[in-house]
Amino acid sequence: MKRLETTCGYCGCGCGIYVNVADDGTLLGITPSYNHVVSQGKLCSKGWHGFGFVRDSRRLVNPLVRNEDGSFRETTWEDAYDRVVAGFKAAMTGEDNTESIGMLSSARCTNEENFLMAKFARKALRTSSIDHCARL
Amino acid sequence: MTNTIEEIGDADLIFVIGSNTTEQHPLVATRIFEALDKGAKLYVADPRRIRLTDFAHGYAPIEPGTNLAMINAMIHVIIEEGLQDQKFIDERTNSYDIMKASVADCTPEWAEPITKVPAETIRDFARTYATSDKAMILYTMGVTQHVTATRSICALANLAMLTGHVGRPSTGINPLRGQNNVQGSGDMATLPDYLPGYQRPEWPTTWERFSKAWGDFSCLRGKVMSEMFDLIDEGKMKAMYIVGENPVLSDPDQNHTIHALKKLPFLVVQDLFLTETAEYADIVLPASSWLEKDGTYTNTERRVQLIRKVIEPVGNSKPDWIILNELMQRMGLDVDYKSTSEIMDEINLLVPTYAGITHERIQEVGIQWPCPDKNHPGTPILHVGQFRRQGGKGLFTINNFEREGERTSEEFPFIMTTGRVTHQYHTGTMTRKVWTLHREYPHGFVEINVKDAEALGIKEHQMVRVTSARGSITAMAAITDRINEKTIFMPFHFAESPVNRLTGQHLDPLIKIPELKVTAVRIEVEK
Ligand code: SF4
Repeated sequence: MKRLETTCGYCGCGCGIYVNVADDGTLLGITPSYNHVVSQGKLCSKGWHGFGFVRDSRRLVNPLVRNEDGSFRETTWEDAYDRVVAGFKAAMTGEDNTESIGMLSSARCTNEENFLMAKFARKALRTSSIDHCARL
Repeated sequence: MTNTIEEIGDADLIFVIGSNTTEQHPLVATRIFEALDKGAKLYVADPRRIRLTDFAHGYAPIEPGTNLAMINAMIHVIIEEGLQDQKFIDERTNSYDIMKASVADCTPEWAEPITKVPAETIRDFARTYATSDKAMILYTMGVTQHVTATRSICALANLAMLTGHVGRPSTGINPLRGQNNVQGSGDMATLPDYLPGYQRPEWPTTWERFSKAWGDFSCLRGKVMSEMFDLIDEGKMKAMYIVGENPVLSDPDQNHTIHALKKLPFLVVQDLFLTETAEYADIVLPASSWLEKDGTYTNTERRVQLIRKVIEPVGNSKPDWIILNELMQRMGLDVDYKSTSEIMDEINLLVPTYAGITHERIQEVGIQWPCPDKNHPGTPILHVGQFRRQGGKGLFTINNFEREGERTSEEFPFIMTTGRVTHQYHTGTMTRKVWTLHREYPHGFVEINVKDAEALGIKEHQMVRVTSARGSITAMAAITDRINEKTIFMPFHFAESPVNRLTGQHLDPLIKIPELKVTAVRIEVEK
């Protein structure tokens, strides 16, 4: 068994947790971090139990594209990327696409990911229309 | 937060307004109880008798949407009774006299009929806040999801500066961020009017700094979410890329959102699950969860902390940063990020408040920004000695209260306010799939006052229909004496009782946050 230190991914408290993982990768449970500045060994129910969604059978495990009849089918990353790039390029109107392409990012993503999203929007898509749900 | 979570435990007075802390921020709430054990006082303003009120020394049953009137009345009382910290005002602030004149008429007697809080209670709140040495303000969406959001927060800043409750331990104005990285995603500027580090696109220094690292890029003031949906409606916006967000459930006026997403020619959604929003996508990209990747989150006290990959990505999913890196390459950008710490290096260069925060330095304990260089220990308390404005002085502002936004009417006589419950999270995409959490609150409900329920003939656990000018939904009645009369509460986690089918499009004029906490509705037994 491995015990790996990380930060709870639910709310803005940012409690310290250890995740206990079996050698075959099974998630066994959570141990609170006793010396953590915020949580001092305590957690709420989401901290204790909240990892249960990770291996849920409904997780998306492959990219999906839409069929003619409106249903989804699984595809490869390469195919999905080609379609995404073609779709974005088709929506680009010119030098700047602030009115024609929008991006919504998530307060669930890491700082690094949010930074890349800001860069992706402003540099790759050439749009300044990027927002996230802190407004909500 | 201007101060830290730990400091709450040492406060003399905690003023909680619009935050159901025990439910939304349990580990902040434990610090409130720690302070209470040491003899602190707790004052709570909320339309619901939330759990904290059982321990409160003062309680204001405030009408949703009227926080600003109450805060201005508190300021009025403090000035009238000479309880302000004149030394702090003289030495550290500007524009006091103008602000003072603006609240001259805001007596508690003026505020009472607006806020439904007795004038004497407002006086008690004002006196206790002003005369406590270490007084902290905690607030959350109960203040911000209103048309008056910006003005209410500025008024709280007035209140804190007026009494010198800022820039010292266990004081300050402390917004509690709901989602784990609301703070960080704001800092990293997934925002239309800023570049990372709250740098305005129109500042020449911003363009200079970023174009050196990025070359050419779109440096305008972009559109906020609600404006994007309007642009789609007008046929101008042609494509959208939504990462880790579920606007169909979380945004106001669901019918409008769905209408726009259906109309949108090209939609890419990146998420863990096939969310209600992903149902409208052309392409869905499978992302990995926070247990399957490395990186950092910034908590509500500005502390940047590591998350670590504890298991391999599930199926063929990929972490968002890898997807973004690969997409950038395919869009023709010359980038190749090998790790998240490499991305942090670029953040260090471009975001001054994060300049000294590297993955290496936060292996053991997170660092609080601003952290301007690699030897800087971080900044637990903001505004010590001086404010961050030019000249270092705090600025008092004028924030007049007016009745605006959604109002009740004969047709829609109740105010609906929305929120969360402890065991669920946001739109329930994750928590509703964890049975130990889900069983605690398996379905949506409507909290309604006993007297109102009696008048309408509603019985406990009966299905009721809630209707606003925008739509109609059903949920189970939960009758209680812990909510104001003529006010109902509904959580927004549940797709089968989607409260945002009811909420409207009234926005704060400055920051465009929707008024989710006030919707006029009618309620009846479902036949
Ligand atoms: S354990 Fe609970 S209080 Fe702590 S960060 Fe997670 S959700 Fe928030």
